[in-house]
Amino acid sequence: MRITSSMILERATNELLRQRGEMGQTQSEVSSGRRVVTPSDDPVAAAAGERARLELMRNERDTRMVAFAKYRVAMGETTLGDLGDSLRNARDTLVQAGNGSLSDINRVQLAQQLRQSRNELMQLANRDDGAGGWIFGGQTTQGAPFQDGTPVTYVAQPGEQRTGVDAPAATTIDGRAVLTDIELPAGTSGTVANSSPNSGGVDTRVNIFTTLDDAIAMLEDASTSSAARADGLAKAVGGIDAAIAAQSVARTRLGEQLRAVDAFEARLADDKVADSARLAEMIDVDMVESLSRLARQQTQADAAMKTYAQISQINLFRYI
Amino acid sequence: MSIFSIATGALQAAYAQIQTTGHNISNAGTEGYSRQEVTLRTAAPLQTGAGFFGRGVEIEGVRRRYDAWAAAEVAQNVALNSADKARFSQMSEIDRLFANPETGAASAWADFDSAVADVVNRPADTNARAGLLARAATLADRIERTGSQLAEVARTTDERIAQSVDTLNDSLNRLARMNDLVASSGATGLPNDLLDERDRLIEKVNESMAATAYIDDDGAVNLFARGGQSLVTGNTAARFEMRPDPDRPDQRQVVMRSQGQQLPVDPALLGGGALSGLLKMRDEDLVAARAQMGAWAAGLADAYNTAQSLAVDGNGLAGKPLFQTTGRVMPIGGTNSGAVLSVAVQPGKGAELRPTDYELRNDGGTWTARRLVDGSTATVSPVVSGGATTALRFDGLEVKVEAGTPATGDRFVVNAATRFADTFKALARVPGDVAAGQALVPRTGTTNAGTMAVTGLEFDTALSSAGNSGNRLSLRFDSPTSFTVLAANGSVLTTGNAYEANAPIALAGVGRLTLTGTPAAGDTVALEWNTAPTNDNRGARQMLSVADRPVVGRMDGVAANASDAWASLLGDVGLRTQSAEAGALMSQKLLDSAKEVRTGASGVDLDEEAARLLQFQQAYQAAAKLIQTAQSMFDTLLQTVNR
Repeated sequence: MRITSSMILERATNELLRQRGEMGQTQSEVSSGRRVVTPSDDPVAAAAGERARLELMRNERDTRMVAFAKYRVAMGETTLGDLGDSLRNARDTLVQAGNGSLSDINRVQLAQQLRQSRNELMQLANRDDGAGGWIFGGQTTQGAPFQDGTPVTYVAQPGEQRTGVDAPAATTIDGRAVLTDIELPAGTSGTVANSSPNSGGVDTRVNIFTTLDDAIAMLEDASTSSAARADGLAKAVGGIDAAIAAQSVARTRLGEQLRAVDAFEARLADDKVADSARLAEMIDVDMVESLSRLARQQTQADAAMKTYAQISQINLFRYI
Repeated sequence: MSIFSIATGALQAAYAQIQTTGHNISNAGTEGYSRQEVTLRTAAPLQTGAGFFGRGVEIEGVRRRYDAWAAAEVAQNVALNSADKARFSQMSEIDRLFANPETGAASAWADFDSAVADVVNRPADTNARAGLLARAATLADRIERTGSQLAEVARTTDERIAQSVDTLNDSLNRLARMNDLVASSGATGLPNDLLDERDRLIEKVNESMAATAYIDDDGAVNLFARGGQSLVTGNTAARFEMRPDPDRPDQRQVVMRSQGQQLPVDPALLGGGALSGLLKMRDEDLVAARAQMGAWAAGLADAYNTAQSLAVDGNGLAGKPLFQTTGRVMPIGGTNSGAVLSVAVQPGKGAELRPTDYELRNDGGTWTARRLVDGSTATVSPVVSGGATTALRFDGLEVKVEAGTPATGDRFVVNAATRFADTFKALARVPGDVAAGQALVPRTGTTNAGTMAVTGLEFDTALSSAGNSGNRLSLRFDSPTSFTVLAANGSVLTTGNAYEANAPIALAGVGRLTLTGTPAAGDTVALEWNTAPTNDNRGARQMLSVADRPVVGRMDGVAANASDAWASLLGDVGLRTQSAEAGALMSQKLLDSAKEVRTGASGVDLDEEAARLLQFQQAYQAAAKLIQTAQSMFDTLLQTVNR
């Protein structure tokens, strides 16, 4: 076949352009760190990589929700702990008030202490998280979940608010079960003083605020007989014990939930590692491979340029 | 006969050869130039008594080294390569649109999803709701931008088609004029350089569309399209134009005007050329990308809008839609009755959308919707009110009759999925409008003795809790396995319903309630109107589940979740671009080798020309020497005579 000058030029130019294009591609891979820049670089990897990337973004979202759940659980823990302290203080005061050597004035003072504990309980019951949420918010609440009064009522919707999709975690505590509608332990029904939310008939449930309010009123009332007082105080202590038990049950539940949340968090962390690896495998550059490819392409381009320059020197016109 | 005249002939021949060599050297780099050479012949001999005496050399002519087969091969490969290159170059535009996933629509969607999670975490926080709206706006903006960029690719593709049509017309006209020249030049025919020019024009025609040339005996060229239509005959050339497609008023078509006839160009019959590549890209690749993008956007929008409508905002009102997208319906042909139609996603049916446009036809009461992507038909359910058809529902779409009455035979083109992305927008909302709660709150009775608990409440009816209080309805268990549904006033709605733990219970006018555990007889669960919607996150949690549900309709009618649908859109764009690139590379190689064959026959080689130059120079010197010899012979003769 006849090889003409223009053919040699054309071939060389095409070859040099092709090599330059390939080098440019490799170079941009190396500098961007990405093997797949546009989907056409590797459609299958681009699709799989995008799936992994969206999975990672969702992982991030779920991690945020888990972190929030943990934060709320921790807050609930603290609040329940404080609640327990206040209840125990109230219990101590009640036990102290049973001492037969106390004067009426002493009892009024103890009633004051009891009122202090009751107010603390009220504050704890309506503790917020500083961002519009309530620790004892239930499913939802418009404003503070407990309304002070006689009796104190739980105005939130009983239940729990949840966050998360795959492993929902509660972010509120059902205040009704812990404070205003406490189930009495089996076999202790009717042990509570004076009144309860379900007044009339046999009392099976306790509103701790009513229990305390009634105890305070009894201690401040000098006309109460000592026998009636002893009986009332014993029942009030029984009510507080039920509340301490309910608080303890709620703490246990939180502890279990924390374990579940931790497990989910660990799973999310594992998934994140796996998804990141998948994304990197699909999209990211293998530096060793890319750099050695770049070196090879450079050598080739160098050789092509040198040979072309040499061949183009061979020209009859130089000799005539 | 004189030795002088022989020498002059030789001198002229060598001079012509040197001149032609010079011409070749000058055009060594000219694309499409065919190397020329002087053909010589021996002059007629002189007859004498002693026999025949040669009379030297004569120039016969200048011919070009030309291989008609190689030229046709090049033209054909030019057509194939131009088609591939044009398709690839436009596809790359789309490919580049999806190059940065971090700033793409899917990332904006994931960000929006995160903002929903923030509302789930802190429903009472106005900032969280404002954040959700801001992310919704960003998502809408990204979708709209991608959609508009795809629409822009459609526009530039049309522009390139128009340019291609222009150059095609120009080349065809010039070929026709050249035929005119042939006719007027008579027997001498066209100069070699004009013949090269003609080949270049044929090649140029092939850049736009595949064309086959036949050269008449008289040297005129006849050019035919692959489909057999005449492009150039004698001095008349066909003319191509772009005009609105009467069957597809939403797009333009290429028509060919030849001998008074106007024929639409069928892209499938073009057989190559940029026009075929561009039309294929516009009508298949681009439509697929736009429709998939639109189905993705509209599917997501509908899922979120539906979740919003089934939730309640801070005021207890049913949520308003967050996103809006609209299609377009255009009448086909001028004979329509003038009825005006509109198209939008049928609320709650976004997952039934398909990535295609439609041709909608009224066959007199019954309607047919033909999916333009594959020609299949969708089942149309007309909505009739007062004897008149007010809307048509198919494939998750609702086509409404806005004005007039469609007549029998009316046809419309429905641009749905292909336009949903570029018309996408977020509706103006204030944080208080974001619906994050639910209208009803389940409440188990305080005296329940069993272990029954509520695990889920999903709505299928848009309800507003504002202004309502007490129960919407309640369930009372008559035994651990059966229950009665009571209305708000305590009247019995249904009784003797079988209870099964964890099986959703359908409640008319509400949705589905899921209970777990075993109830005791007399246990109750009430659905109370929500009087505290600002702090409720259950509606927002339903929005989170959108990411896990199949919400994006596909051509096979089976919806995919949004992540998978997005990934497959990306994969599809990538594959189409890659195959276009592979095609372009392959046909480029074929074209290069066809060009090499042609250059092998017709191209200029400078070494060869240099060698010839030396040869012709020597011939010239020899002829000059001959004249010198004749001169000295003549001088000798004169001196002899003078002596």
